Amino acid sequence: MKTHNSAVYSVVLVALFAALTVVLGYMGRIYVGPIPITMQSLAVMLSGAALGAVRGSFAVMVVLLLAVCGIPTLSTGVVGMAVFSDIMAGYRIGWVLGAFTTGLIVQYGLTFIKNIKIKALFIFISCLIGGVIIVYICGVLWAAWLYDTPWEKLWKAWVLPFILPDIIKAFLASFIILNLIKFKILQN
Amino acid sequence: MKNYQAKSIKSAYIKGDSFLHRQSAGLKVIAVAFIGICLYILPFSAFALSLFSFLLMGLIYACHLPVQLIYIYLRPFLFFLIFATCVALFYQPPAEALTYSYRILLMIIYSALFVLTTPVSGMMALFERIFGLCQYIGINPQYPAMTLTLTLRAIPLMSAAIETIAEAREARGLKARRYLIFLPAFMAVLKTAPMMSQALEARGWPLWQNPSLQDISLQKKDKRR
Repeated sequence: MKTHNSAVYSVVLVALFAALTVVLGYMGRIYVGPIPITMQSLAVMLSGAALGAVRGSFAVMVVLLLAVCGIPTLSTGVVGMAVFSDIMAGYRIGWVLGAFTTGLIVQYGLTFIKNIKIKALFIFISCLIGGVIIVYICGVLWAAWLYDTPWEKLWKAWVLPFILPDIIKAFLASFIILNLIKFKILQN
Repeated sequence: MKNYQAKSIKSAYIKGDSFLHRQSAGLKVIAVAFIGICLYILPFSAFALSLFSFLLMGLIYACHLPVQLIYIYLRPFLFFLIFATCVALFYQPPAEALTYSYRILLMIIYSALFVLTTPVSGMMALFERIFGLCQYIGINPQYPAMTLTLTLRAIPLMSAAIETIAEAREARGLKARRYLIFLPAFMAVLKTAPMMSQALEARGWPLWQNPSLQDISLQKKDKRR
């Protein structure tokens, strides 16, 4: 573990997390009506929290770039340049920014906290900010810009159907990260 | 999961020898980006929309792509497009809401043409060239390029790892609670990463210069001896 070159290790880690994001997208798909609720947004939160801001956001970016190449890495099966130009593109751009934000908060905030319960709460809040709030802000703003509609009118349709599952995912992400820290697999 | 493995590796590219197939990936990316700017940013008119529609029909005809294929590509987008149109109809006049949706639909079909006529290898090579710009900010361009390639390789690897974990759980009678797979899956990632990085280093990666064969020819001074 200690002998590896940190840059090469980072490359491999980012690639493996990106691959895991792809696999999770196809694994845990639950349909609420026609809307698929996938585990890919959970993987986004986890990438940011586990890998840090830069590596986490790059792992998400890699998934999106592969989708642009024509490989169905996203759970909805969306490929091509439309990944960055269709109605849900705002959410996808939000994933990158969300992973970055989650990573940034966890990276710098966790070093100051010693209590395990406060640590859990802190990770949960950072996943909520990065993985839910940032993603929704980007998603709603993009849709509002595309349809030239004020965002206040759109948020009910674009946020409400997905918000509860995403809060559960943020909770699950904090549970996983906390366990990884507890068993000293991840360093805080 | 086994079905997924096959599905995930299959790209959307359709082989062909049409006008669009023969163009480079970079040129097509620039063209689609230009069309995107024209459709989304510039103020649109009925004339511009019909012009883009006719151009699109012409390109589809020139590529000899079956309409069914384009429909298969469109399917994942359609639900959200219809959903967004329904939402927009509440706040905007119907003609305006439908025009906005049509604009997005056009952009998606242009994107379909791009992805159906461009091989993944071409796109990857393009990204590698774009990553070359990273050297100006002090990042070795091989790192992001290798990450893309390695991710492709790691998808079936991670899929198999999760399948093994799921089977082990099933063998212990723990079929329910799928989310409990995540923790072992993350542990698998964190354990595989050092091994893979050591394997890469053992192969002499990363290289700062491209390896090349150097010609060694006899010189005049060699003949003297």
